[in-house]
Amino acid sequence: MLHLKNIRKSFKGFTLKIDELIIPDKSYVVVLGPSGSGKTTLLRLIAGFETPDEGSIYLNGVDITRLPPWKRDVGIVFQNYALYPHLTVFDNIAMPLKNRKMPKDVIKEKVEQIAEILGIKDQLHKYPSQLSGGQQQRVAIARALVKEPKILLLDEPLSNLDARLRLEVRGFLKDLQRRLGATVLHVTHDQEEAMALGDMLILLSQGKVEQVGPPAELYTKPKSLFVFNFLGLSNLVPGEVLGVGKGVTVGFRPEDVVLGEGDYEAVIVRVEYLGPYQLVELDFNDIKIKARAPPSLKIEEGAKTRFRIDLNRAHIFPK
Amino acid sequence: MKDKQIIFLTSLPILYLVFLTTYPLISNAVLSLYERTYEGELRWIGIGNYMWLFQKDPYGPQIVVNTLIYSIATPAISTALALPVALAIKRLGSKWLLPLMIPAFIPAVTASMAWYLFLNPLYGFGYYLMQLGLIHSNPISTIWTIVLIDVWRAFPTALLIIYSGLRALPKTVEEAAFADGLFGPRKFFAVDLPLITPQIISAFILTALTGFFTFDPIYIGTAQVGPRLLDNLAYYAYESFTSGEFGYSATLIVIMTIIGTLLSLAYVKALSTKTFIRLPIPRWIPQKEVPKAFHIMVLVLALTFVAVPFLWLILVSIKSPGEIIQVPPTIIPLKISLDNYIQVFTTGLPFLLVSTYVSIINTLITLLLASTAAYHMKVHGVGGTKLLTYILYLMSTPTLIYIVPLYLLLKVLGVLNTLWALVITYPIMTLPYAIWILYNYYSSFNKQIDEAALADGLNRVKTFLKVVLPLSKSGLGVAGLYAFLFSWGALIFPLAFTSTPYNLENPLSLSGAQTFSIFIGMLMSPVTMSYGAVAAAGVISIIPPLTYLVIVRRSLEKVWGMS
Repeated sequence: MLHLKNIRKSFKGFTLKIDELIIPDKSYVVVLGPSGSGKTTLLRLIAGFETPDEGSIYLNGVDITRLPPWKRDVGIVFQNYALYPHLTVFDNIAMPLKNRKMPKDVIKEKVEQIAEILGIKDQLHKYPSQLSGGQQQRVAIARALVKEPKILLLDEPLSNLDARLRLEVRGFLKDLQRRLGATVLHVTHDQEEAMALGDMLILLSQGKVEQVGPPAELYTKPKSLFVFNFLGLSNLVPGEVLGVGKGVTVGFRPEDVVLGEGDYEAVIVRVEYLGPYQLVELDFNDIKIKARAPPSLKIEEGAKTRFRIDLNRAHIFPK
Repeated sequence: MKDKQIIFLTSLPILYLVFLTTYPLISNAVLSLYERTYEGELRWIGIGNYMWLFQKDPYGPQIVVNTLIYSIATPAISTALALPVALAIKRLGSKWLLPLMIPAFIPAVTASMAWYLFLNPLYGFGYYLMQLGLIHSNPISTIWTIVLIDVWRAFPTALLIIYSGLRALPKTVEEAAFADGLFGPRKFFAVDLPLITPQIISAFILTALTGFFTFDPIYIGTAQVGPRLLDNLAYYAYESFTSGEFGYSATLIVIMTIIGTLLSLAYVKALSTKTFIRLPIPRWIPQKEVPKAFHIMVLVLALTFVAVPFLWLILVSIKSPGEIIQVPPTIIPLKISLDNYIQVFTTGLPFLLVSTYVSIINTLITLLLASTAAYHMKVHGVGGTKLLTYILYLMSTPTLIYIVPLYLLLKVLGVLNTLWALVITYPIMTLPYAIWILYNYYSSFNKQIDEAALADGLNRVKTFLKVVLPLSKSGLGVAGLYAFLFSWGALIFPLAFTSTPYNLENPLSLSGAQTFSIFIGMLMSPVTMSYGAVAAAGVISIIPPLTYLVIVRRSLEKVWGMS
């Protein structure tokens, strides 16, 4: 269990402020936030590349706040993989073990074992420059995992991959975590990636934790307008316009808008056919509203339509 | 993150450099207020030394005039020559840059000696130049020979800076000029020249520093024509030092330090200049691409200028002793003789050994210290911009300004005239340059490799040795080239700190440490006058740096931004 307490870390014009954060064992935790929200700083604090100005970090009850990176039981995979270009794949993966002065045959066995798990056993003699991006990433993961760290940190692991590979690696990462029973902390700015992978999400904004919880909880019960807006598509409409109340903002998802019935009337501005559903943009008293419609529904741009909002599932935010 | 291990790694090079450079600067200022009495004691005389230089010293006016000519003519001619050559290289391909850069990699003492042999009015090509009426006065006794040698040494620097400026011109600007119908020289004056203003100013100031502090050519020239005639402030300071007038020498050095500092400040300013030279373009400037033949001609002339002293040096080195003092001189030797080389390898052996030892030792020390300092300065921000600016400043100050205080320091340590004296002091001249090269090299270093190593359990010292150093090969290669070259060709430090050749009878005593550059100077003196042997020694002194240059040329071109 990783436990952060009263952490403060300031840079020029930016402060990361975390009162309490607990990463449970054997879970896939995703740290999510826009750029500049402090997610990389959080990761670097845990890895030991930065020391907090205040507060403590405990790993399984041991205070690691002031330990240098090389004395922490933490594995990290960098965004650009940071493989040693002058070493073979084998020596790259063996680096953390060699440093613990393990006997040679034990090192060989462990490296081969982890390479097997990651499916790169036939690449061990090659140099990083001879590998594809996806293979390089597997080497980086193997290097981080071979020392059996108590927690594995992944810094934007999917951002350097092309779209198709990204889906594949996404599944692979989750599988791997489940198979090894590892604790993973994954940093990303991509909300779809975060929801797909995380057992638990930590949403950061401007150096503060906005909300922590399973993806479904953050999506359906957002604690703030920021959380609601950041996850998935959203509509924000002043309460007066919908007749819900004054001085509030009503937030609802496109899937909670039903077209063709109801009390409101709007003009259909644009229709995007996306396969499983259509995304429709409505003009309702000069307010743009996104709605989701079944693919079979006949909709014409420029026509008028009636619609209703499932207000039970909407969120009311103070202005 | 700065921790104990980073401080441990960086403190040695930085403390070494800062102490051995700031202490002399302060000590010079103090010493300049003293004079030596007949009893050899130092006596306080306030600003007496300064008054003496400007009011009474009979050589004063001439030395000031010489210094001015050297520091204005050298940059003016070098920059003016570099411009057309840089344009020719841009047209004909960057592969021509390396051969033209060779003068920058030749020991200055060898270059000076080669030109003096070439211009000798009796035994050199100078005989024919006078016969043909191309020159009228004896080329050996004029200060313009010093300017010629300095231009030869400094013009590659100007060429490199201006050429990289031309290369860095945005392609879009060139295309816009093309679309606007600007071609050839007209485009050069309207677009290129204004845009490379910062490079032209930089080139001018850096070559001005060469001219202002020039020493080796005067050292060789003085051996040919006698004292004081060619002196500038730098050489005069050295002469005062050798005659024991430490106070007066320090005075001259303080004045030079102030002027040198102003020039360095101007240089730093020029690096960020936003002003552009805009000349009115006269009508007669053609609006047409210059024929390629013209650029080829410029390149051939430049290559000839670079090659002439070498060719003459090689030809003289294989002449027999009788043929060397023949008037009129032969150009192609009548018969090839290796006597000169044999003489150099026998009488010159102790000098050659010392130069080899100290160059290798100092290159290794420099690389180790410079890479540690540069890496942590760049990646972990050690020292900040202040330290970096100081390093840049040290790069533009010559070693001459340290000799008096360091001589006194080495005397106290009891290591004068030993290999130790050179090993201790040489990093002062090689470290700043090596740190600067490596600092720039590490700008493109992937910092996450460092962090990956830390996460893999390597501590900072191990990370540096096992991961950073193996990945720094090409940067170390280039920094090592300069460190080796400066050590191999060094003249001022060995002249100041050693007095006898290495004692081969008792090699382990490590006493006597005159270098090969001193040997070359000795052979040039009017007492020995062995022109054949000195030519052979010159050829030998060129081989190690040129070999090194050829080996690391790819990395060097990368550092120059050519690939």
